[in-house]
Amino acid sequence: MSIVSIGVSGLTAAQIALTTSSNNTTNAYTDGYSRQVATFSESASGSGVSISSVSRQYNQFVTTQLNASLSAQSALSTQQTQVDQIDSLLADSDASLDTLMQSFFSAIQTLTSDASDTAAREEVVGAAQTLASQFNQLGSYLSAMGDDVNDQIADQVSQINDLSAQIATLNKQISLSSALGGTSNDLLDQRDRLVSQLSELVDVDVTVQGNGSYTVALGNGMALVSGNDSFELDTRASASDASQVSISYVDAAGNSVALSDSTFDGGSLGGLLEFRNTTLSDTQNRLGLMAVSLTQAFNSLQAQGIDLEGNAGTDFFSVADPVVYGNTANTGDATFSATFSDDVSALSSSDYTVSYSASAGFSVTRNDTGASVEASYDNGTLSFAGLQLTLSGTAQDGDSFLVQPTRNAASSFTSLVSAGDKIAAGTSSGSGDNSNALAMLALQSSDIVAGGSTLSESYAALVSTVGSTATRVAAQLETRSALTEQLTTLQQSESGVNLDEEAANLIVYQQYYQACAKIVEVGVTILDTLLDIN
Amino acid sequence: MRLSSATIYNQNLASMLNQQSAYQQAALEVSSGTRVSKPSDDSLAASQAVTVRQSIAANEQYADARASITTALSQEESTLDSVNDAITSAMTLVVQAGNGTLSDADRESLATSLQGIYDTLVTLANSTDSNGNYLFAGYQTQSPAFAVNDAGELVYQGDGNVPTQQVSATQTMASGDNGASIFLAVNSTAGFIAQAGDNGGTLTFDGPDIADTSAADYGSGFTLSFSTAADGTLQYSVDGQDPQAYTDGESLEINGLSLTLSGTPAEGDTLTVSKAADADPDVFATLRTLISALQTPVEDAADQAALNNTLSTASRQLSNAQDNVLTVITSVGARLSQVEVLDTIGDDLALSYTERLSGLVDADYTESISRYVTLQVAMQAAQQTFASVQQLSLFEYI
Repeated sequence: MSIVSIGVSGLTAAQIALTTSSNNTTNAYTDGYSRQVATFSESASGSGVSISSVSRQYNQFVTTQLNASLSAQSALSTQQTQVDQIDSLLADSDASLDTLMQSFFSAIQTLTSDASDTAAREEVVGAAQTLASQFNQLGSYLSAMGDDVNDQIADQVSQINDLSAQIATLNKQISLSSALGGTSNDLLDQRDRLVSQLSELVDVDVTVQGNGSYTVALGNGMALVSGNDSFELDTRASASDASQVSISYVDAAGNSVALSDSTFDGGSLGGLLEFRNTTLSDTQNRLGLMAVSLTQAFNSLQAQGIDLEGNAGTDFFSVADPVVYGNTANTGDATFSATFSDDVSALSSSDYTVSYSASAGFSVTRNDTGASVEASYDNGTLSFAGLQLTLSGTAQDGDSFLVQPTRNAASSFTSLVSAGDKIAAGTSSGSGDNSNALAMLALQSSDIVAGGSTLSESYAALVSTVGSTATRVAAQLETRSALTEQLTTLQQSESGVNLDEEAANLIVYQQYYQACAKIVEVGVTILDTLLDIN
Repeated sequence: MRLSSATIYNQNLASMLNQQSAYQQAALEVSSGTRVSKPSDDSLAASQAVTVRQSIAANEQYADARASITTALSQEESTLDSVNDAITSAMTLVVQAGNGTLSDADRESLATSLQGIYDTLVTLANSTDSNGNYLFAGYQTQSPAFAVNDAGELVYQGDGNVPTQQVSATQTMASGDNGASIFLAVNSTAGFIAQAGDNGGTLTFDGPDIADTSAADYGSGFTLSFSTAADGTLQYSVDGQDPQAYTDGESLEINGLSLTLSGTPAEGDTLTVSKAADADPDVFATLRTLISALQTPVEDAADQAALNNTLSTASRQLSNAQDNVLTVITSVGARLSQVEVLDTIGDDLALSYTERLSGLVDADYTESISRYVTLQVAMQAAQQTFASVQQLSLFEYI
């Protein structure tokens, strides 16, 4: 082997090394880029050098951990974004619900000081309307959030499908290029970046197959990507609750399998489902419960009183009746219409599931605790927890129904009394009779909500729950972010580009190049010397 | 550990942004003076603040109720003072009317004065508050408490109720008294009165006085009926029992009550003694009876006896009415002073609630400002670190 060709092999190697280093340098801040290292080895012929490979610095183990952590972080940060909205909604202000309830009762107090005063009566009417509109605003905002969450779920499911398809395509390209013996570092980087994006949406397990292709599966083992194929998720109205979106899996044969929400515990999709099924529905139910309790308590006092014109009092407030959804899988044609019973002290902020079995009849369970609830069925009417459900049609064994007693109560809460003289302040025909107004005033400090707390107490409890949820999510997010940051640092310590390092490499390889060029020059000089002998 | 340039950049950037957001939060706390505005700022404090605000609002309500009740009771008190004065004047006139030297014309003029007092009392009884509500009509605040009915009699139109108000968390208080309890009542300690029937004789009485509270049937009223016995002597029977001989100037003791009778009763004359409370007390009726008696000319001894008897009964009834009014005035005064005590308690509570609320949600300025300053330094440090670390690069030397 000539000196010149040895020098040229060095020049070639140096060029590849310089190219690799330049590529690293230019991609120092590229997301998902893995540092590449040129490996030098002795030439097979025994003289000179060659670049045996340009290898990608990558650690599957750390990456998997990082993706799992990203998934959990994304779930928490999605939840935080949503919970923070409710948190701000309940922030203390002149228009917060507790302030308006106080104004309302304060107006009633003024009425008790002179029951015949029409101005005081109008003030009560006005305060009641303001209170109702604030309840509506909160209720509508929350249900708009619910709609938005359902839209986001659908949107994210389509993103997941998109990413799954792209990963499947890359699987194909990678296995092809590796079969051809080429390196496809950029394709590997792309695929890992897609897996990372997918992890932010949903918690997935990745396994590497022998041919280098990825199998990506959901927590329950159902594959989103297997080899060159991808499988889709689909959204549809939930079987138990027509107002909510549920996710189903479309298998290879094209059959949809409904997935339980608990399948998705990570990723922003998991975060959305968690928020929708806990904080959002709980807040809606609890606000609704306050509206229902206020309505029932006031209306029953109105009914026993007499208004300024000497007539028996009419309803003061109204709320929507409880909602009952029949499961779409029900085989019977039974439907329920629900109303609140006169005594709502047994009402809770939970939803209920009514199931029918041919042997045991109707049974009721609370959805929040799963505990069974005492229910009595009599002549087509099922009574439990302050509710009365009237059956029409026939239920079949295994049928189930979802009861949402107070979900829509806050947004439908309305003040019916539009004229002050309709307020039944007294129990006799005397215009100065304030005895019923005193009873109304006493509701302020009575345990009218779920038989155990005042309106103000139950609002305070709501504030406490939302506040502590927001605090908890923020704390978890902080911990999780710290973990993600550590893992990122770890992952980057292997795969990341350090510019100083690359600068050093550039200097070294540049000198190396110059040295190799010198070899060539020496070789040429030697040749020239030999030729000059003649 | 090997650090990638991206890591160095991201970590420095993140730390600077975190410092910035903490700094902003602290700045907000200092500028607003509030530590807790959203539930998540401090969920426990935020929920307790809801409860404390509720207590503050309720306390203000009670204060409002007390203010309105104070106005109502003060007006009632001054009205009843005038009622008391009117009754005193009436009693003075009754004493004057008892003077035996007065002529019919003199009595007529006394009657005119009494009519004036009567009209004053009716006006006072029909007093209204600033909203035009009748003070003494119970719940029937839109109609006068006393009005003349078709038969020409002044009757009470209100009811037996009194509006009450919640003046503290545990206490309700009547914001007034109804007309029946003021003008148509005597207090429980009022004694007994005797009323002569439409008598033809010259019987007069003195008493009744309480003689023996342990006597059988003490406290029961009774009626004396006078008749002439077969032998021509005068006799009386108690509630239709066996007749007893009547002696002029005799002092009787019946049902534990003593009564001195004098003069000569005619056949069929009666004298009814009853507990004041059982004798349909009505200060207006008393005055009307009095006025009509004074307007009746005195032509013989029987007329004189009838006048004396009416004056004597009226004198006791007026005195009972006055006692009753004074009792109501005392009760109003007691309520007013109770309201004052409750006001003091309410003010103390308001102060302690406000302090508690402030402790829950307000920023502690010393702490907030020192944190603000610390964070400011920390943020500046983060910025300087970022800038200087970014400058460190080997590329600078190539």
